[in-house]
Amino acid sequence: MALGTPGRRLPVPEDLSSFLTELLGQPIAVSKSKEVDLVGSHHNFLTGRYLDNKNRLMCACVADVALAATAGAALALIPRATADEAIVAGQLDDNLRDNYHEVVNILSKFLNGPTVPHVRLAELVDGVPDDLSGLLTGTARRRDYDVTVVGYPGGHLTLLGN
Amino acid sequence: MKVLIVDDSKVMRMIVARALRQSGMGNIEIGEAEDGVEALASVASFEPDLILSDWNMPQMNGVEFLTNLRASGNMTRFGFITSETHPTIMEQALGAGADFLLTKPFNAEQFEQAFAGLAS
Repeated sequence: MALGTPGRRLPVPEDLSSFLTELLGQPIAVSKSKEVDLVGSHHNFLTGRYLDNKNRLMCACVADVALAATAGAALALIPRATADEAIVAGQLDDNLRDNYHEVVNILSKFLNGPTVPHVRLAELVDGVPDDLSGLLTGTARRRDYDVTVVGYPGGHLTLLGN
Repeated sequence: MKVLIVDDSKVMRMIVARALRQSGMGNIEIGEAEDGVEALASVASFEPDLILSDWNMPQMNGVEFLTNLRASGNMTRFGFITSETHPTIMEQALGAGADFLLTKPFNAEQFEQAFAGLAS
């Protein structure tokens, strides 16, 4: 998308840091990351799919399991060991998953604004779904972040928004 | 004071309950419901003094719950705690009879401000 074109704004690292710090109740460092290959990567990902009022996929939040486990654990003050177990297993248990789902749900506040179609979190799915290719190859905006949480593994997050 | 927390997220109900207990509001008895349908039933049995509700929930969302509540003549004080921030959401919430709207994530100061507004 060309610079200056009206469109969905994605948070800068500082804003995402403030958001996660407030939500998780502890200092969270967020920095800009190089673009991660979401399709060819060996990492396991979880993807939050955000739809507009016509059920069109407009935005996505893709996190590696390490970050999803970190956020899911930190939100409810669950010890690091549980997050580590999820990383080894390559997937989140039901409790961590429910917690992380709420993080992704609340994250929708960054994706909405007065000049763009309203979106809501429709579902949280394992992996990177095929229909994300439209966002990855189209005109959607993209930001990649490295997220660090003291006492937890931390990980990678990608936001996509059309 | 009896507070009914309505949210389909178990962890968010826990976080709101924790914030309530840390808010210095004195003795608080907390009830919980997962959606508007369950909340309407809980209101009848639990008889809360205050309802704190999410907006987006399955079966019956928050504004539908509030509309049904007010239509039944129940005027219990009601606040939304939601990730929805669009101005039209605020208008819709107040139009349906909400006392305040707090956006997630919230900090202790914002939480206490919302209740200070209620008290005044």
